[in-house]
Amino acid sequence: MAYNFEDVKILIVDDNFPMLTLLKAMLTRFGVGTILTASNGDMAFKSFVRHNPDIVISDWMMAPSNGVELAQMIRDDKASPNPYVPFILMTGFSEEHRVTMARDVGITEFLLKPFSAMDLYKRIVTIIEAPRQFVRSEDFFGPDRRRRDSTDFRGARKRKDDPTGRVTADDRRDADIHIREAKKEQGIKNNDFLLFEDRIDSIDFKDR
Amino acid sequence: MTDKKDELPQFYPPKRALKSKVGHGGLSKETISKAQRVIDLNKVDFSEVAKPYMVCLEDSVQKARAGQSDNHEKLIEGVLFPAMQLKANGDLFHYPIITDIANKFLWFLERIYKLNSHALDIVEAFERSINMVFQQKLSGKVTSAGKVILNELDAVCTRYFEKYPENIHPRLLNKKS
Repeated sequence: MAYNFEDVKILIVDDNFPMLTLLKAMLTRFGVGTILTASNGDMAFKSFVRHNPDIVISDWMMAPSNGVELAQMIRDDKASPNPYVPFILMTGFSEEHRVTMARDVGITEFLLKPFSAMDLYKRIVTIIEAPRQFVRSEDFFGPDRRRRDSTDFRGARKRKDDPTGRVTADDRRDADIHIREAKKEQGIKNNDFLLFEDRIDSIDFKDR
Repeated sequence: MTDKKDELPQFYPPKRALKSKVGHGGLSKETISKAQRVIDLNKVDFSEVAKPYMVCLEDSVQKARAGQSDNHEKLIEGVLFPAMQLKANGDLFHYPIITDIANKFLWFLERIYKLNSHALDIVEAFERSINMVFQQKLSGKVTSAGKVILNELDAVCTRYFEKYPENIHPRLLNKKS
């Protein structure tokens, strides 16, 4: 059994016509049923509203509106039929500050140009097999930007379950010992349900 | 009234619609190879595709040389755009050497703070190298001649930053190592 892309609709956007043709031909080989094309962000958004595609693959640098602006319209505009649509941004830029800037407008995946068929396929697989939760905060709406379970973050805590510092294997072992001792003191059996009112907030790892 | 800044972010579980549409199993190696052949066998003449980018590059260099603007960020952006396009498209249209040169070019542009006269000399060295590749039709696998060009450009960039460390973008100096 293999993926069947027959019912999938993909919108591809690039102002470079040979590139657009190449990408369309590659997606056709993948078996994608419907491929919509546009040559800039404005045209693409009109097509997006009209056809509501399953995936958007767009170049970054285009005029009059570029791929990042298109992503913003898709995520924020009231006319957008699906602000959660997976958005792959194609770009030749790989510098961190540019990638961060694009990520902050709600890009789902990056496809660094030049790319191979395997690179394109991998991005599509990630979107299918590992879709990310969406986050809406004061200044952001898009896929969760935290891909890794980082334990070395030293900045301000933004979520109530964010750890206050690095949690090591030793910390976990010590915590297990404390829990066992606490259970013993309180006469709690191993299978009893334990409720921590403050959970991780009550543990200070700073001194470790 | 609650201050919006104090509000915790809202989370929305991932959508599985696409997965239910396409099913399981991925694509076969043969299917991916067929798609790769689209790239490998395309007959697009990249020198034609690259023409507008080369014109844009030349215009941007001329504007910077004219010295009519002090907005170096904008001047650099003007050169950065064609450099990025050349890097992005070269290899896809059988000019991997253009991608390699333009990649080095981008690296240089992302590191400078001002597009001053000395930096423009380097930019023009890149421009001349790219023009030479097109004139000599150095398409296909990167040859020893191509590697010589790349090594020369690499050395030029190294010498530039050794001589003019004050033109390294502050963004990079403030970055944690």
